[in-house]
Amino acid sequence: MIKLVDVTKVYSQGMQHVTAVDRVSLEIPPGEFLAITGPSGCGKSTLLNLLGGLDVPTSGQVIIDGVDLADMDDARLTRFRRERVGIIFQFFNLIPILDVRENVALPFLIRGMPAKEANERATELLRMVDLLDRQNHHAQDISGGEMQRVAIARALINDPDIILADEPTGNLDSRTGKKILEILFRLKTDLKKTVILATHSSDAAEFADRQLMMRDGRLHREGEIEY
Amino acid sequence: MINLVRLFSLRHFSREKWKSGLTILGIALGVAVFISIRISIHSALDAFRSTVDHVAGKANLEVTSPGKGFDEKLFPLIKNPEGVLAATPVIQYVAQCSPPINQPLLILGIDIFSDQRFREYQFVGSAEEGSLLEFLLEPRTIAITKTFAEKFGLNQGSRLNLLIGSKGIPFTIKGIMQEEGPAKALGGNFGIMDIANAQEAFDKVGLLDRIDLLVDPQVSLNVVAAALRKKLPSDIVVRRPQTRNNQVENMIGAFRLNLTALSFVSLFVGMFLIYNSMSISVIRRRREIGILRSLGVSEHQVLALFLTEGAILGVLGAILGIGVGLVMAKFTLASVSRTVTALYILVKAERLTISPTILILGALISVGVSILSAAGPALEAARTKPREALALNNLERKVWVHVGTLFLAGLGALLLALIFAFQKPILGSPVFGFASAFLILVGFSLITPAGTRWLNAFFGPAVERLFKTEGRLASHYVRDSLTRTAITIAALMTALAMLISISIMILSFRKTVAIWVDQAITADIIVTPASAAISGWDAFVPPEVVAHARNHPSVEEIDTIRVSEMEYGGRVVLLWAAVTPVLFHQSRLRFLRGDQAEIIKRVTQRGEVIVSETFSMKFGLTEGQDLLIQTPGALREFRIAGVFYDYTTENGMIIMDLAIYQKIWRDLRINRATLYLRNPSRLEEVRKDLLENLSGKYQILAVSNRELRDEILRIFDQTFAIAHALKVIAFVVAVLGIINSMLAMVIERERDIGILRAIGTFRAQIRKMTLVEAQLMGLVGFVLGAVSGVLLSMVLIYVINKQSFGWTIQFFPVPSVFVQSLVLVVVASFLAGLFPAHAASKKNVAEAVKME
Repeated sequence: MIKLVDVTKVYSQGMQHVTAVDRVSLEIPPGEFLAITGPSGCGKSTLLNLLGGLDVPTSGQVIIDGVDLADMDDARLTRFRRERVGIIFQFFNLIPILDVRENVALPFLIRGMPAKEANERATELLRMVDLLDRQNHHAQDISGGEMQRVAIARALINDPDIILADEPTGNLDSRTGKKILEILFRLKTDLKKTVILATHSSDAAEFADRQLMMRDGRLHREGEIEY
Repeated sequence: MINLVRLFSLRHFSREKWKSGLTILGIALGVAVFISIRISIHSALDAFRSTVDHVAGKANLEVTSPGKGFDEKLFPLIKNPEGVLAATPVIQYVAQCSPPINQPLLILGIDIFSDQRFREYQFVGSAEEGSLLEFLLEPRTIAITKTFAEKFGLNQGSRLNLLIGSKGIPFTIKGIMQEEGPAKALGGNFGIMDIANAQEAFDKVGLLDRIDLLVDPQVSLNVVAAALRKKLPSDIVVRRPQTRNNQVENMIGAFRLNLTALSFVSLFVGMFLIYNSMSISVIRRRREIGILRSLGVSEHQVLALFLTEGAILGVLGAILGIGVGLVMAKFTLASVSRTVTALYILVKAERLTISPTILILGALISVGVSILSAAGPALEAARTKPREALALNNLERKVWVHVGTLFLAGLGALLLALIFAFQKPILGSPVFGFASAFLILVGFSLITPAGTRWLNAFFGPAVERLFKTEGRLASHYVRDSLTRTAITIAALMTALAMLISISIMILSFRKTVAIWVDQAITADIIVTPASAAISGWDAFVPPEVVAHARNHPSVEEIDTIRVSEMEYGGRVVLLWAAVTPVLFHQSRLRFLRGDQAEIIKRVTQRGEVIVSETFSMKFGLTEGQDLLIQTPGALREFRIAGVFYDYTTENGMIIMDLAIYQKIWRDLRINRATLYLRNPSRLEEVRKDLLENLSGKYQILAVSNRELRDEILRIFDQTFAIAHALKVIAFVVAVLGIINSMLAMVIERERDIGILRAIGTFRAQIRKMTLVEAQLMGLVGFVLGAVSGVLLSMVLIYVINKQSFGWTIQFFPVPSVFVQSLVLVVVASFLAGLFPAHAASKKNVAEAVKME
């Protein structure tokens, strides 16, 4: 169970303060596919960063299975990201110097797991996202849609129970985007993962069990905000 | 343009203070080394010149016989020729003050009456003309300078003990001079005495060292000199006093050239630092450049902008470098001064002579080198197409494509280096040798990208096994960020090549000298006058000492040696007269060519001479040829029987039989006696006996073979101390390059680091990855540096040194040099990686993965 209690994130630069997330409270049960929608700059990515332990809230609590992330030191947070969370970014964020298979295997390898096992798992996941024939290509030599599928495979290699997808289709054409959303949907249905999708696209949000809308850092149920 | 520089460049510098600071520091160190070396040599020469000028006074011509002195009966002949307004006889001697002062003292023995037209002495207090004359009348009186007196607590009436040759002679101080005019000579270590006193004290009765002449300015000096030469024997030299300055400048020419070349190494390494810094800057600012280009800034303006940035770095580096250089010069001056004194001529340079020309030259070199280093990246920046601005990988790919071309160009440079290494010197200067050394560094720099790829592929699997995923990533980064890594590695390679080559050269030279000492210096005890270290070949061993040693029951054989300096072909060379049967019997002199027994026979029985390798090289004379030597009264021909290996003096040495020397030169004085014992284990006993029996009367040194050997090697080490210091500075500049480059890479890889952290990489793993990368770069740099270093050392030994000094150095690639360098690289690259590794691990993950 993921629980956010009155979470606020304020970014400060000099005298300027920007509230990216404003008193957000939320519960996400395991296995749910949740879509957080809203325009650019509304705070979706910040909320996902807080959920993934990439950032810490200014106030409030992010509680995962009863443990407040604020109570974790950097090493525990890193371990949490490594073991419990798979992150998919809008701009794929692959390591350009590695090939496709190495990118997928990387989170497994940095856990100190054997290269052979890492390769086997990476191959399995690449087969799942239908990219086995591209496994030896350099990350920068494949298309955007392929990059995102690599990112999904990478997010799954440590078998996390939470998948955070930050605008995964934002940089793709609609057909490719749809394919990616189908994969994410399968993660929920077939692999029973908790999927939290941040998107500005209402079409993408249709894949989710539940949709929440963000605006100016505040979270609303769908239909609460009038445009 | 100014606005563009202000908004674009200066902001960039201030935003990246650390990186800019490191680059400026690197340039500054290069400039500082150049300036400190140039100023030290300049100051040492200036101190010598100043001594010559002050001692010469108003004399515009001098009559002398270098190294030996001449009969005072010649004075009347010289006194009154046409055009000579005045003449004064002079004895000049460098004595050693007895302990605890232990300082050299330059003493002029003057004729107080005739000297007045040449030099002015100002005495402290009441010492007027009358009291000045007083010390003419009293034997063993001297006047010294106020500086010297104050430094050692001496007063008028104090006793000053001087070591003159093998005698300790007490003098009474009768006058204290203000440090004006001649009293400024040798930094104030100067004294005067009556000429008759000087002749007696310095074993020069009936001899003069010099006659100073004041020639009418209306008359040509050349005409007067020519007229005098006609009247005088041919071994007497008539010359301008300043000729000595030119001789000394020539004498240390090779030393100066080599040290100056060495001082450029740090600057050369610094060039990589600037190039690296600028090229990283261009890559990082491609987007900004694209925006500027799309706003209408022309290619030329972008080019000018980046060249200006290079120039700004150069100017700031020059300002800092000049400051640091002047501080460093205080230390290097002491070392340069010691070396010049040990190897060439006594100089006492304690003050820096700051030449504006050197400072301006240093500043110009700094700016020039910076602009030159910035030219490549500036061109790259200028060619950036606005549409390419977002494609970061473009440049990386270009380098990949160019690796092969660069490699071929590198091979071409090495081939050219090989051709240059076989060329003859130009005017005695190893111009092609330096070009060859430079081309080796250029060649290996061009080969570095390909070398990095190969070596990375070679070391990569081991690194991965050792450091797991972090090692694998580090290896990938080294391979795939060639634009940055290759330049850093090239800088490190250059510094290491210099470090290794200079170390090999010095150690090979040291080992060669040690072997030579063992073969050539086999005497068990070497007896010299106590003042030999200061007074050189002007100090003699009394005949009684030689007789005593000869009669000692433990002494099997004794060689007596007379060494004198003589001018040959415009240079000062050593004429070494020894009892050649003993010399050849006891020593194992090695000859370059020919049958040793035959050579020995020709020297001992036919009166032929042997010359050192350096002499042969300098004057192009070899065995079988005749040597024309100026002897008293006539030029004589001596046949060269052989050329021997020798490391005594760079200017060359001639060995002849003592009996022949004594017959021709009518000079029975002896500078050293070398004793060969029947039983070397009784060395201490014999030495004690000699010193105890003679110490009451004479001040002599009886040095054992081991002590002499150690002393020779001590002087050797002292001579090369500065070279060690310079190579270390070059290495420091290279380490700055690693830090700079690693910091830049960390900034550039912010996103990658963010991703790694996001997917669960610990901070410690990021640190490890960065450190392993620094180490891997260090390792690749070491391998390339070791290979190029060995080649460079061969050029240094077989080409540059041989052509500069004429010495044959045996090549000893001592393994410890490589081990030490490797340890140094591992430690240095680890330390250089620490701060960047720390910076990398502290990156904000959420910020780093953001794309906007």
